[in-house]
Amino acid sequence: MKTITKIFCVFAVALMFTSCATVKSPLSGVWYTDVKAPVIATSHSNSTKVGSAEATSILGVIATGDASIEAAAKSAGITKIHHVDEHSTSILGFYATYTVYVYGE
Amino acid sequence: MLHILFMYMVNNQTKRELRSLPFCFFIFLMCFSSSVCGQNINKYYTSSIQESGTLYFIELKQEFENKIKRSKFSYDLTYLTSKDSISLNFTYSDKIIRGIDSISFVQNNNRISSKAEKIFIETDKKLWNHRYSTKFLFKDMQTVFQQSLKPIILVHYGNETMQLDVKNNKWRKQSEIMLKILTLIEANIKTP
Repeated sequence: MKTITKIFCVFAVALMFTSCATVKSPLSGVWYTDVKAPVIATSHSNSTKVGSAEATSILGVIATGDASIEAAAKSAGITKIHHVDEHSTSILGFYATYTVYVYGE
Repeated sequence: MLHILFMYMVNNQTKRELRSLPFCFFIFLMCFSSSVCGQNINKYYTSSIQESGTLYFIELKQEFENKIKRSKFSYDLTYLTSKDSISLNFTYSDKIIRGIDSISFVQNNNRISSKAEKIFIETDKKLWNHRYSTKFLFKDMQTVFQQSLKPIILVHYGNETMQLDVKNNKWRKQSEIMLKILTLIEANIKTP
């Protein structure tokens, strides 16, 4: 009885936390998300630099990071932005990351 | 619900099956994670077609560190296929502000160095994050990742040098991914 109760408790807790760590994405999977998508494009072209910035979420309880376009552009010394992409990942709702990629010069 | 549960308890066969549930769940998770993570290099790089070639951005989140001095080093790579050199932008974290001159990769008695150009310096709690940019030859970087022996990174500032190291298993795993990406890039370079 104790073993079964423990198993049910583990599953119940796991279920409670599932999909808690949600991430901004055009498409999202409850079990697994790994999606790249566009954010913005400008009329500029011919990028030579790429910068990234990331924010993470654990169980939807703790979310930290700076995934702003500004932080991503700053990380590569970009002053003229050409286009911006995003990459969202999530594993079973336990851990999620949101990354912004800025292309420019 | 409890009655049903109790009935299941009586049946030994079901009990045995239920006991194997965590094991099955673990196996399932292992299969799932291996199919998802096993050498999936797509999540480590992005590419964008430009007028002068394809622009690749590689970020492994590989961290070198000096445990005694508590300094850390992480980097990303940017490569435009029309050029010979690859840009290595790095973040070096230290307790005090350093005027970084250059960095070196030392591996198998071979040493490649490059001047560092400052992007910015910012503070994060107790540490100072130095963001710098360097350039290395694409071929040199490829050689670094082809070696099974892990490299040591030297950060030079003034007359001092900080030595940073990475764990063997981390290097083995990540150099494999990096080498695969660099091979992919090389295969996609259009010859005139």
